Amino acid sequence: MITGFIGIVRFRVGGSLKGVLGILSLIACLIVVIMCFGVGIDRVTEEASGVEFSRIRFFGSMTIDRVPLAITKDGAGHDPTVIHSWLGETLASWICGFVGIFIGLVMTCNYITSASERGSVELTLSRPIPRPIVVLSEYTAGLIVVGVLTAVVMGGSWFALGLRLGVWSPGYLVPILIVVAKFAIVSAVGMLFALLGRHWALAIMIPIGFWFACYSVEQAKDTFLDPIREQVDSIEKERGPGAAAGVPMASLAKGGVGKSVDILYVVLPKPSKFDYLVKWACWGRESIEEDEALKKAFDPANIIISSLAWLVICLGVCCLLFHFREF
Amino acid sequence: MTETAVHFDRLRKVYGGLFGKTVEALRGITIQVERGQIFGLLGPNGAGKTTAVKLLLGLCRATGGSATVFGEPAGTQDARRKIGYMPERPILPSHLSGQKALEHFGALSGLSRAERREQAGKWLERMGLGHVGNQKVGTYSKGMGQRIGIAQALLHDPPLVVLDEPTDGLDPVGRREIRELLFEMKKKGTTVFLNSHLLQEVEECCDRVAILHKGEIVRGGTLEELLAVQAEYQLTMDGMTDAAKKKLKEIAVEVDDGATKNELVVRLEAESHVDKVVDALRADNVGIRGVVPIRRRLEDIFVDALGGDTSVGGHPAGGE
Ligand SMILES: Nc1ncnc2c1ncn2[C@@H]1O[C@H](COP(=O)(O)OP(=O)(O)O)[C@@H](O)[C@H]1O
Ligand SMILES: [Mg+2]
Repeated sequence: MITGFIGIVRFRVGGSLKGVLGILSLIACLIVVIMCFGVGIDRVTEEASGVEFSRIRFFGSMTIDRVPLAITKDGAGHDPTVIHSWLGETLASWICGFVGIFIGLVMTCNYITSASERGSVELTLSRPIPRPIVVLSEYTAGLIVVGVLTAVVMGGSWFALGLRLGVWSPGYLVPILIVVAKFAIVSAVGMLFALLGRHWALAIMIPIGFWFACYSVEQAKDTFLDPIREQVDSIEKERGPGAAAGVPMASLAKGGVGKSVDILYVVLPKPSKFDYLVKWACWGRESIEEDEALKKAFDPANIIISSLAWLVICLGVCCLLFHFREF
Repeated sequence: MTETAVHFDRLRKVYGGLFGKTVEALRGITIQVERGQIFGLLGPNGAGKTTAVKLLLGLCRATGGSATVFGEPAGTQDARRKIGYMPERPILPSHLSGQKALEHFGALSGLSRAERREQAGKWLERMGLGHVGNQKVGTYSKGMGQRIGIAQALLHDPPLVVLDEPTDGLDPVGRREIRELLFEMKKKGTTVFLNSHLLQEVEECCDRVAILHKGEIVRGGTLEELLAVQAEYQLTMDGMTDAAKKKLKEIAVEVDDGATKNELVVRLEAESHVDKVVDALRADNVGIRGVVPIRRRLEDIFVDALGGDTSVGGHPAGGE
């Protein structure tokens, strides 16, 4: 059984990375790493306003201007750790957390649906491996593929930036795990729909849609409802109950809609919190604690529990579906 | 004492249901295969052969009846451990080399690393693919792919081998090799369950066959039993008369006209009835120039069993 599990994982990981998409992705990852080997920092003064900012150069040609906070507080020079953290967060959240997850989904869904093809699935399912193990091994393979791609980008750029900037902060590498964790949820949802719908496009669109829905719920609570409630609460504390009736949307925030959003918020996974985790890993704990709103919305226990719950439920349903499926 | 390798007991399978149209692919078939036998399940396309082996492997579930493999309920992990299976149209991992593909399947069957490396190499050689073992399976011809398909079923040396249309896509040489392989397995004591719509291969190597048609077994038994049902003779006469022919019709099960009036094909209940035929003809002064027994081929029995109905495919399950 374990031999079978490892066999399928190896088979899928190898197949994905050696496929056209896999090779293209690896090349893209390596390009990112190579660019990091050419990183340099300039200090630029904008002529019109006289404002100083830092500019990141890649091999002298490509530049990213106005990197925030990169000028040290005393204005004397650049802080390479800031550049380092900023690049790390950007790469982890955008390149890996977005593009990487999309590529991972395409690959996973592709092989879930292709694995359901008659003639192919029969070769696997006729062997003495329980079907849930087959599901879990396909799933694990997806995680490993995304993990490898992320590790190439983050590990490679960490090494390159270490050489260029002299910063070797290990927190830079933690987002590899965070991206894999994020993908673990997205791909569990994707796998469920790949098995339900048997169509790969559906299996890519639905988890992405789901992720955005979760994100919207999060944003609705964190940036819209919570501030209104706070405002209402503080007014009522000052002037007594009912005094805050004039605050726009107060009834909405305090009423049924607000409650439903709260419930959804607790139950659903929290995409943007993963970005906070990345921020924490790259910039350090203070980056979260400095920002009051961020700090308030950041509840690690709830993030972990709601994520795990989704993961376990989706995978469980996948295993059941696959177990009872007829080929 | 013989041991039962495969036992189907009134096995039924209805596909579809709920809202769609239902197809009754198997209508309660009973089959018993003893250990060490080569069993051939014959039938035209759509007869339900593939359905039967899928039930044997637990790829789908029976609607009624039961199936066992060496006493274990079909589809359980223990039952599957004892089977090597080649599906009808195997889709092989095209990104792997022949060697790596077989090693992969060996891993799925639970072989250790050393075992699967050795077995993969051995089977590549055995299937005549040794020279392309390092090439990607994607570059293989259909016949080569089929050989990999067979090799992956035999790799872990299972006591029961289930082959669904194994010679599909093979050239005559390839077919002969498969036959040799089957004989070799028989010598080793491996049980083989073979599906085929091609009769030639089965005729030469199966111990028992069953003919499946529209989900029902229409004939079954050992080859000898099937082939010896009735005796057929080609008669050549001189001066045949209508009266004599009338008499023949009384003796024989069936009398078919030949190319000329003096040629007839008679089918008799038993070989001993030849004497009666000769007596009757001589009594009418008809000269006998030749009595040639026609050895019936499985193909004839096959066509007979289908009763001339060679239409393909399933049929609605309703009207039971
Ligand atoms: N998954 C399925 N769903 C519905 N009908 C099926 C399915 N598989 C096979 N059938 C039908 O069952 C009948 C038997 O098919 P099959 O077992 O593949 O026959 P054979 O292997 O003898 O050619 C056919 O009529 C076929 O159309
Ligand atoms: Mg078939």
